[in-house]
Amino acid sequence: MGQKRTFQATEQLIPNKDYSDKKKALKTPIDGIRENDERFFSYVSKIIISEDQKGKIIDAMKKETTSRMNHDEGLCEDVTRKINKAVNTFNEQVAEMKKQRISVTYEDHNME
Amino acid sequence: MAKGILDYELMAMRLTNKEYENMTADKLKSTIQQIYLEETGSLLDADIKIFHSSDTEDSLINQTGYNGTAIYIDDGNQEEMYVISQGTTNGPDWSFNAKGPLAGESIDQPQATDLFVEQAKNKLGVDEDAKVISWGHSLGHHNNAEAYLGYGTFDEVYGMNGAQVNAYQLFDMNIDFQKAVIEKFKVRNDADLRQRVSADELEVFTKEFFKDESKNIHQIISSDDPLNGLTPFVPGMVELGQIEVVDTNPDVSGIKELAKDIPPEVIKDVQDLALIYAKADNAGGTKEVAKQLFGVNMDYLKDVNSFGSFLSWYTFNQGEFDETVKALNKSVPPLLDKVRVVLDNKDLIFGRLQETGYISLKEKDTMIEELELIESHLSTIEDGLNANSSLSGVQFLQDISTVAFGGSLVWIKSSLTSSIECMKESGFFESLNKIVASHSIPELLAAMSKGNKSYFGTDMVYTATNGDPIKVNISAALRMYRETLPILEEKETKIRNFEKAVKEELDDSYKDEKRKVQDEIDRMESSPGSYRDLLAKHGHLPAFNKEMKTIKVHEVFYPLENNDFDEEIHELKKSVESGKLYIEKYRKAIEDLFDEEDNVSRLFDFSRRF
Repeated sequence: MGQKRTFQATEQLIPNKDYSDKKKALKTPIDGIRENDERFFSYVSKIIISEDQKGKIIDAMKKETTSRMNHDEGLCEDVTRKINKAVNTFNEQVAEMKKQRISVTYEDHNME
Repeated sequence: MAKGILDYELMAMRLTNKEYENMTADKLKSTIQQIYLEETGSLLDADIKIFHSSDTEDSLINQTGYNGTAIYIDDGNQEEMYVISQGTTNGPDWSFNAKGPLAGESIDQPQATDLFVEQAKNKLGVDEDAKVISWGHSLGHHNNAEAYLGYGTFDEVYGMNGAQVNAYQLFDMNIDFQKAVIEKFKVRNDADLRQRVSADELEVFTKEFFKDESKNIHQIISSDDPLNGLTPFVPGMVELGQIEVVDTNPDVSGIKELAKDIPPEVIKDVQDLALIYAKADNAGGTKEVAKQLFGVNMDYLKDVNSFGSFLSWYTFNQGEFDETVKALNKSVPPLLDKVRVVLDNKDLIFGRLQETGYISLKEKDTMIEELELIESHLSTIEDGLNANSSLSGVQFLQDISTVAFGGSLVWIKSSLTSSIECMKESGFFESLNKIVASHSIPELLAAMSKGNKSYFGTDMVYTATNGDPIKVNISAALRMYRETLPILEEKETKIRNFEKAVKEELDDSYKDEKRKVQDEIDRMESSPGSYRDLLAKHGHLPAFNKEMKTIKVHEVFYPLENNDFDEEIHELKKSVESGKLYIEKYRKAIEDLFDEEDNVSRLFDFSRRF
């Protein structure tokens, strides 16, 4: 019987991998939404002939249209930024998860 | 126009212009329904089937460049087929313009029109008794009217700024007409007819012969349409049918006024030059113009930049030189003749264009200056060609005109392009666009405003009757109301896709990675013996006398962060819902601009029912 010894170490259990391609998978529907929004507003922009036409109702609709466009565009930009952050975090956390503290116990027969 | 299902003049004009967009069958169907709704205020309740000339595999049709669409329509009471023939759009069309309507020599496209109509009838299952009506713009009208008079292809022909029929073509197409012409003028054939009978006499006879058929030809023509202005100057060209003339550009005196006093042969040369230029420019811009005008392979001249390099090219590339000289021999003399005729009449042509307000003084001066430059170089080339045909070798190199000839070849390569660019930059061609625009259907439509309804392009515009006279593109408004809802539905699908992607790419994928780590932990803890390499890896050497007993992993798993998109998804969904409300709000805002009798509300309601 040898002597039992135990040591502790941090071990890379699984090799690391880059998950950045997840950004593309997540951004694709958002790019599609952005394209939908552009198409949506392209229909609206052709209704009033000549930009300099004025009137209470027209001005109100123009204001609302601009505000909607900015809101929708801003929303897509926010989501895109958040996707980048989420995938970076995912990469970091998975890398972290793959490294764990371990205790290894072995018997040393050299001691006999 | 006699009343058929779609037999409304404005509808015909708008759909004929839309034909140039080569829409899919579904898109064209909804366009027909929308235009019908706008023009009549009612829903078109009919079965519609579409067949486009690109759907046919018939090489006889395809090779001619003919383009058109057949629309079969059955409203339960009557069935009809409308055939829209496109005007000039491609290379073969340009070639046919010269050979067909202008020269009266080719009947390729009218034949293709007839063939296409036959195929469309078979394909769409059109009853033999069904009325077949044609609509056509420019060359499209020419093809329709020719096919009608030559082969009886149609029951009715409706043309917009159409190229007219040519009696010489009809002579080849209609046997009865041919017999009558032969009998009347005692001629043997086409050549004899051209030689012995004046075009004017033939035109008068043609009008009389087709007097009855003409009742079924209806035309609307702009008095400013350049094509219309040139009709009297083309031998054999005859205006047939009931013709409505509209002044579409009251700012200028009209193309007929412009052409007045200019001799027909001069008009013909201007027309030829314009056709050559238009065809070449259409094929690929300024450089292509030089290539097509002279038939010269410009690659041969790529290193010819000076007289020295010209001599070197001449000496070492005799084959290329001979080919170039041959091409120039063929192309330069007729081109030069035409340029000279135009220059001989420069004051009349460009002066009249300036007086009638089409071009500025500067544009006139630039055109004359550049054309004179072109004429001088072409003359030098022609002189060089004449002289060099009798010279060779050393003689050629010693000849003084060779210097000028070489210089002019270098000019073809570089300066001709600059001359054409100068003409373009002067704004001349843009100014002439005013004339070209008068050939278009939108300018005809713009001249046909009625009450508070007018046209912008091919769209219908209403001028507000409540408050300020705001112009609303009602076609665009109806398209917005009808076609943005599916866009919002698409957006909803994409939001769902995003939710799914967040779940799969982040939440599920993280769990998956966690499971893989957990599996590895289980393997390590259950089979420590398999991980002996850890001893060496962590410095416990020698390893051969050590026995692995246990491995314990002190696992720590944190929940995934920054993966919560609930708020953003909620916002995106909200934007779809508010988008739907926005469409309704916009509809209401537009409705409020109009009196109830304008029926705008009904148009919106109906627009979602097809």
